[in-house]
Amino acid sequence: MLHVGQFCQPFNQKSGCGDFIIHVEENENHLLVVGDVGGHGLRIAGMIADEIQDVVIQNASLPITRLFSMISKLPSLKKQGLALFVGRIKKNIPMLSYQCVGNLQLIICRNESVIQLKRQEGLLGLLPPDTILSNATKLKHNDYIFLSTDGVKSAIKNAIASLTSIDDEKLIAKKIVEDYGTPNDDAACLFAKYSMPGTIDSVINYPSENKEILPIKVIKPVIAESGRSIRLEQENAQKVVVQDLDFIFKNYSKNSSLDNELIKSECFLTLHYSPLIDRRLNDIFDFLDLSKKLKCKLITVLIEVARDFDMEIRLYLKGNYLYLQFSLEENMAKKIFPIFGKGAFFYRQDSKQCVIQVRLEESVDTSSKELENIREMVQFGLDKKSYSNFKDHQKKDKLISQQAKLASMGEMIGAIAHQWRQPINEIAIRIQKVKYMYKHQKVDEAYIDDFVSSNLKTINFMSKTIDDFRNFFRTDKEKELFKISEAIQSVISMQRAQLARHKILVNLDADNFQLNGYYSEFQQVILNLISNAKDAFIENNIEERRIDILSRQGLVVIEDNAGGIPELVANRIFEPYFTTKSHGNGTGMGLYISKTIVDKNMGGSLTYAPIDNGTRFSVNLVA
Amino acid sequence: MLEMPYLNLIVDKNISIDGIISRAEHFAKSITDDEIKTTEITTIISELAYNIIKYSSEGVITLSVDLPNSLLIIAEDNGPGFVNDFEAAMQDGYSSSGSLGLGIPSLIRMCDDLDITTSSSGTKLTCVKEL
Repeated sequence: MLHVGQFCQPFNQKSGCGDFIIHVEENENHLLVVGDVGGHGLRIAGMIADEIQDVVIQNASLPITRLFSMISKLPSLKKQGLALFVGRIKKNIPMLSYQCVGNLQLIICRNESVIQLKRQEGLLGLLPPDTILSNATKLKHNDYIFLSTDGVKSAIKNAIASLTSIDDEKLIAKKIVEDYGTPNDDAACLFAKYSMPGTIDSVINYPSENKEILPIKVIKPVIAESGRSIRLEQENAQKVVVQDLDFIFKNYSKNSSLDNELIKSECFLTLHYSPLIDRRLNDIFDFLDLSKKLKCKLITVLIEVARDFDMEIRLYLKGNYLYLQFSLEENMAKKIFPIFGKGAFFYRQDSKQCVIQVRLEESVDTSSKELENIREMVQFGLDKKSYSNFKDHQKKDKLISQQAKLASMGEMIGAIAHQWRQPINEIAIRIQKVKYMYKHQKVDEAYIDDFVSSNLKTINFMSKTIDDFRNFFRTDKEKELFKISEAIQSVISMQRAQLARHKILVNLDADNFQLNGYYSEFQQVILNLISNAKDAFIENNIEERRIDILSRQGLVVIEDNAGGIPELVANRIFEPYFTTKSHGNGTGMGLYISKTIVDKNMGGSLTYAPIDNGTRFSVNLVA
Repeated sequence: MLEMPYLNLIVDKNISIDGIISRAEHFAKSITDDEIKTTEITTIISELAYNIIKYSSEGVITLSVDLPNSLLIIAEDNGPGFVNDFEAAMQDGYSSSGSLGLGIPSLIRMCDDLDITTSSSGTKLTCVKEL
């Protein structure tokens, strides 16, 4: 948006004023013309100025180069000469395009700094330059543009900063002329404040009504006819064409084959606008091996589109083609179409959907791991490096998880081995004993029955051990109500052979307390504690071997006189893989698993306390 | 005296645009860690190089880091310029066959400052990109 103010002060009379300022606002642009015809005060100067103004207004729609050329060729200029500025600001482009020859002042004030626009030396009509330069400069929000004739003293440059503080912008041009205009020349000044479209203060301020201001000839906006192809009138017309896309839109609206293609293809990625969308697009296009040129083109367009419309971009892959689909307003589609051309850009007016088709060097396997990685990377909003780190961590986590699983497997196997050592031994002894009994003719039916039932009981226990340990690593075990005394007794009976062999006396004193818990797991705890005591008796070669088990109201205390645990290692006995047993006899898992069962699975506590020449383990199941 | 990074790119029809873009990208990466700016600088150079080939066939692009913290890019050629297309070239939707298609509008969007001068004896584009 441009707020324009202008003021012209003749040297003596209006009819002899050679300075002129013309501002023509059309629907899409502002045309700014400032000129100074030589011979101020002379009637002819005023007449030439009027003639130029007529030419400008009648030809305001022409490109500035053509308009400038048309003015500079006016025969009347050969008598007086002319300094001329012709510039245009299109409302949708922050650029001031201009041509200027002669002694005019062209200044942009931006953030208290002054930018001098380009002008060529010379005088149109009398001393024209060989070639006229066409210039353009980018404008920024709140730029102040001052264009003045040489009747305004050059001191204006120094005053601009203070002048821009005047609230009523339309008064600035007048004040400049009043304060800095020379008394012996015409003086004209155009002031324009540029605001970027969409900013708050986009309100047009028209020049104030002032008799001193030369009349401004306002022409009606030129409304371009839509629906027809416009070809620029120029020598090089075959090169630059304003595309009228209506016929293309209509054609593709009827053609639904592309939509069908997209329906068949799976959208592999959906992108939403984010400040880093260009990086994500860059990563995707890198992966798809697009040329740098094409990559730049797509990224620039997509950023523009996404920023303007805050929409999503869907990416499809089908054979050798990448399709990018997004919704787009028709006017934007018209702008983007020429960038990609007829074969690669499709637009459906009815759904306002646009598709850009990009041919890839090679077809991409849509099920490939690499594509999946790219998709994941983009969806997580990570760059390549962060994604690589993320994947490394993921691998490490997986490795740790596997190691933990292996450790658990090891624990289970170790525990089963521990549990099985005694029953296997029992079975081995019974088998060996068969031959002896046979020799002594003691194999009768009662013996066979006892042999079978004892072994089946042992084997059943072994089987249960596996089940129990498998359950131990599961969370879906079901609790059951059982008598603690029976569970302990069952363990003792299973261990009977080993206990008898090693001359270990077990005293059980238990009440009828019932527990709702895991029967087998509890048995394993008791078994572990008895086994440990047995091993300690053997290891320490204790003569009188005794295990006392006292159970009262859910508290089970198991004491032995097996020599005890050295004080130094007593606090480590519940650690996994810790054992005090000689090499090969202990896995170091027994007490660890027992504690886990009691503390975690049964909600109780397993504690250790030293006693004279022995140990005391307390299983508190109602803690 | 502090030596500021500098790159001189000769552009003519015998040099591949991809080669120029690669050099520009390398240079951009050496002066900024910002991937967006790197992409934009690379795109700017691509546009400038393409414009030179399109309108002139040969020219020079210089990149120099300007204090306090901006990249000055100047593209110059002695070709016939684009005076006839001057205003049209600023507008989206203008394209010649085979061009990159984005042209000056994309430069307007990407450059912090842009100054263009063209005539029948040559063209100079001065771009400033804040780093």
